[in-house]
Amino acid sequence: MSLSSELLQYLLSGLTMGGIYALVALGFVIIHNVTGIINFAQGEFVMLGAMFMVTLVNAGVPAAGALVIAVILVMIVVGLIEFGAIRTAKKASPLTLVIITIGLSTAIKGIALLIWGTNPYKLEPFTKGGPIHIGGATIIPQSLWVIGTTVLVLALTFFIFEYTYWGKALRACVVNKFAARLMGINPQRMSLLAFVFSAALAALAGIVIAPITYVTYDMGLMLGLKGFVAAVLGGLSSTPGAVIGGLALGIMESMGAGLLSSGYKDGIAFIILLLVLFLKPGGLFGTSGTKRV
Amino acid sequence: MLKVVKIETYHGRIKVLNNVSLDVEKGEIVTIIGANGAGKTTLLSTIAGIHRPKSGQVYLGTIQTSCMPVQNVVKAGISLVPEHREVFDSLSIIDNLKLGAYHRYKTDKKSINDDIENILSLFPALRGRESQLAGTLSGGEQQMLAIGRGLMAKPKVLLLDEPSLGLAPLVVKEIFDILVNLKKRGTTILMVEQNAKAALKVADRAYIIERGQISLAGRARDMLQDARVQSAYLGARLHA
Repeated sequence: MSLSSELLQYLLSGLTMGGIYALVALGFVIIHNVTGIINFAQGEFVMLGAMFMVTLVNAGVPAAGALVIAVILVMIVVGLIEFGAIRTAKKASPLTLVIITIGLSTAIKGIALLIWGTNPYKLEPFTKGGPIHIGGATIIPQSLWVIGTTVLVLALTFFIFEYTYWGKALRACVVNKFAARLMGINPQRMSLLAFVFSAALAALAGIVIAPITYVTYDMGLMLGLKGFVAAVLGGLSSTPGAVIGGLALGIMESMGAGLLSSGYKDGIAFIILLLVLFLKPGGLFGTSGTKRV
Repeated sequence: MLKVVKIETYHGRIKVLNNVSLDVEKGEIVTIIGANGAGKTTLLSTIAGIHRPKSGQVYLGTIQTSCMPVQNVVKAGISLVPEHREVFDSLSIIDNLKLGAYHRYKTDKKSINDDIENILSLFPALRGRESQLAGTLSGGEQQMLAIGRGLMAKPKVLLLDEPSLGLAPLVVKEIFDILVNLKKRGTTILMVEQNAKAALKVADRAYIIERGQISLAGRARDMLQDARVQSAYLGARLHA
């Protein structure tokens, strides 16, 4: 295998994982922008999506229907969580709320352990067929599903924020929370909307990655942390930044694992996190506020 | 129409408003004049529902709005155009205006385009630039947009917090001309201003607020002639 085809191989597998990180990171950024909370339970939403999907498919529901139901189920669960655990503490400081999300993450993981046990579950790939060869590299069909879903979801997100009234109301909250309140935009409703939307992104990420990684009750921790690193890399408040951060992280991880040693794979993400926080705490795409007065 | 009864508002332990009462009749422009830190902005924020008064009430018609959350106050018909304008600077002019109509967007979708048309005829400077980002507008244009956005809520009373702040005198005149125009169309306005002269010229009545208390109330025309007001707020010298 020549170096160039090797690099192409790492790039493709990097893009696959990067797409997942991007979806998770986008969830972090949307919730953070609207509510000021860093939601460390984001990774558990990924796990819930994958678990619901596996359970439904094993119960005989066709994959397409299972996907829709699983996403909606996660949205409902997260909506209830926002209602019960975040809204009731609305007077608390953002730091307290962040700690609440850490507690939620542990609780969700614990409940998942009770329901589904410690065994890994396997989900069949969405389409059958062997690996596809591209210029010396190979890619499994499920990777194409991951990349395709990521692109589609990103396009949909862009459309919602750019062209729909609800999306614009959410953006208004991000741009100027005070003025948004004066327009009669209810910050609580927007918080719920942000959580539910991010839940859908996370659930989708979990569902499309499930056939590649196996589904376990604790898969959310690493995916959540990696998504957080990607979000920080992108500046934590920029949606394009989150996407680029996710893809960049996926590619760097895969290159590092391939060229150095696969043992360093997870370490790379956290070295990147430390470097960003030391050298460029605003992230690569941190918004420097420009405001005309 | 708008009635404020013995309001007392605190910021933490500091009493900012002390027993403030005022009223605004339908179709009037009423202005509140005062120095920095007198409590003008706090007064408007209390009426808009951002601060909750410790005691006292705010009535809009027969509805008591002083214990409602902001979004319900907006729905009831009080719309605040905040100090420093606070437009959504990375959204377009048209989106800013549409978001102004947020509370009636679901129920009143059809009339919103007509209302935007009305606002644009009121502020011709914004016409033809609807897709421009609000952050790129000049200060005066942003103020017009902020007022237009406030009007999109179809308020019964429009609250204006320092509409002349940071604007060139010619632009201030333009804004105040628009306020007179609005009054002719039947809009009720309660305005806070440091630019006392300009405000008193367009207003029907005025209140002077000092250290959180109303110290003087009366017709704006009379205030312009009042020696105390002239020396304290209009820059005239008292001759002994």
